Amino acid sequence: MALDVLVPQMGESVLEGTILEWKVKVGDKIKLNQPLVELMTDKVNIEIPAEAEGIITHLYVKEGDVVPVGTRIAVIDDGSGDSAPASKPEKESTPAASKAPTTASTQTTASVSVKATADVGKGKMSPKVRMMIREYGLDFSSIVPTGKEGRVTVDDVLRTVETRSTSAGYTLGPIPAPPAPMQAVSAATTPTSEPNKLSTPAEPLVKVEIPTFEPLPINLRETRKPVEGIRKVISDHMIKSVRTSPHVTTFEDIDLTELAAYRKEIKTSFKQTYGANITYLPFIVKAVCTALKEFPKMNASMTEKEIIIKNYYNIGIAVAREEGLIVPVIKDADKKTLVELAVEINDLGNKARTNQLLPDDVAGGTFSLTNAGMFGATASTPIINQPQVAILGIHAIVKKPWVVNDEIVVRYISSFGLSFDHRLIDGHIAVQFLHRVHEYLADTRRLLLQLR
Amino acid sequence: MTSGNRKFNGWLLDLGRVDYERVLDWQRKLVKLRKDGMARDTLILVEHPPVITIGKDGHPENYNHVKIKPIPIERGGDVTYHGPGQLVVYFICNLTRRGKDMHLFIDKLQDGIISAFKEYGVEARKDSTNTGVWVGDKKIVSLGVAVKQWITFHGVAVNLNTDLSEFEQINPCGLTSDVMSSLSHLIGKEIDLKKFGEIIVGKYSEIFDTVFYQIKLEEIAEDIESQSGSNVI
Repeated sequence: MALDVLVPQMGESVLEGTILEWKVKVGDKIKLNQPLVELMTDKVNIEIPAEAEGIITHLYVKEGDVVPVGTRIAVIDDGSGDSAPASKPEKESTPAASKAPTTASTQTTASVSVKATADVGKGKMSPKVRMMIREYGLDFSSIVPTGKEGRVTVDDVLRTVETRSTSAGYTLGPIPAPPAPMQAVSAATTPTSEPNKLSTPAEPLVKVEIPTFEPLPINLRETRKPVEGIRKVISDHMIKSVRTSPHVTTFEDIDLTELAAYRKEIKTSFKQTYGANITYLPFIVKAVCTALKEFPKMNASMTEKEIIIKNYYNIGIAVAREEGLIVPVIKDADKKTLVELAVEINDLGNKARTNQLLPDDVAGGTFSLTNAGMFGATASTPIINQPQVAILGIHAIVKKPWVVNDEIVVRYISSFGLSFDHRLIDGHIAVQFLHRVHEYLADTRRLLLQLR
Repeated sequence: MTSGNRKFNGWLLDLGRVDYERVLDWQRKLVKLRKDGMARDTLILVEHPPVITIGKDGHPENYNHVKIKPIPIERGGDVTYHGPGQLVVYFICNLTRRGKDMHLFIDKLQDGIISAFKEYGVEARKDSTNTGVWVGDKKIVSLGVAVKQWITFHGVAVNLNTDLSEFEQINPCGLTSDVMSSLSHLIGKEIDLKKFGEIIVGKYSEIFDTVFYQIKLEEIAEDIESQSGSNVI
């Protein structure tokens, strides 16, 4: 079938163009969208692409010719059926709709449509359609083309997207009505009634149209940043820890009711006297240090060849910051009073948040605490801060109904999660350690017995 | 400048000062990417070091006396000069989505500039015989566009603070060099290229019904690099 190449309409004011250069010659086999000719108009140089693939059978104008818009300048034979364009009147190759159908033209149309279907895989479509196919992630072969000469149109793509969505279990259009609640109730009360009734959807009173959205532009869909600075450090540290230590986490609900009452009692005067807030942390640090002395393996390090038990107690406390977590260390925490711990924790927290920590402030920890509770978490499994072997996660302190002496009472409860390195620490050690911490915090008088 | 519900989404590349030939290479590659659906319509803002280029309609008598070797390129039009103080706006635009109407496109390129000049209190006009943007009998903006597979490239060169004496070595667009003028020359003060860039992007956003999202060259560098082969057309 012969297809005419015309000088395209390029805008109302453009009536003619100059043929600058032919990119093809008679007999050339050409591909779809291959540049055919370079045409120059006022200030504009334009390349006309082939609208079909086939063989160039005629070139009607020469380079340098000035040609009006609409002029037939070449003929492409796409290899389907009748290929004798020169013998036909020029209008023959325009769509058949404008004239009475003859047997010959019917045959031509038929052969074109056969050819069209075969061409789909090779991609007869506009760049817009191609971009849509790419953005929706469609498969060429799943699209049925309805456009001229077998071209895939925008509608074809949208139709395919809709069909795909339906078959994937959801639709872009009105959603199917859910089973009516009344039917479900009756089915439940009379289990022997026809089960099929359940699957008959009732007509909803309000049909909800689920909107669809254009995909975001590529540059807005994702934001990419290099892994660098503190994020790189944290990343390496986390990976190393998980690879080094088989982590196990044990939980225990800690009753902090008495401590909460005591804290409330001294809060105001403590702040006035020492200039720092009294939080639960100094008590937890004290309880941990005391328990660590009873369970030395919890305050240790381990290499492939040796186990290093540490007889000093430097407690790291993780502090959340915009730019990333950091863990300042309270040195010799076991030797410090609760007041000293409270003031130091306060100072280190401030330094961390204002980027004033010195390298020494974050070095030498032997055990760590992390408080996910301040953001509301009630459980988490922290990752060990290497080369330590355990980390205690503190969680939100919540008023809960608790059974004490067979009575339900309101207690202040926090679930503590202790992650430990199972290479060194057996489960029963870790569980007993955590329970001891619980005992010290639930009844602070017990701490007194152990204080030096 | 990128607000509102526009019909099209595009990219904006604000390059600063970059060599003509490098940007030419990027433009040609972006055209290929655009054709393959791997890029959006892209507006490029750039300032070039001094360079002379010759379009497809170049006449040797118009550039006999140049001080630097001219670069022949594929855009329409004759010889022109680019250099510091001139804001060059290239637009890689898929016209298949816009009715394949080349001259409407050219009109819009010019209308955007005219509208931007209004912000400086300058009434500019198009000329029926000499494409470009004119103020009185002075030409401020040169225009030259190429189209491949209905994707446009090249664009407009807006003389903001351009050293006008540089035009004396050529007959710009086949005209005598004294027709050329600059916006700063007209209003008697230096123009901030960055500010003008923002204004023109806003105007083109309206006129071409497109939201231009600013991207960095690095974000598409990989795609650009993947477009190998000869760029000479």
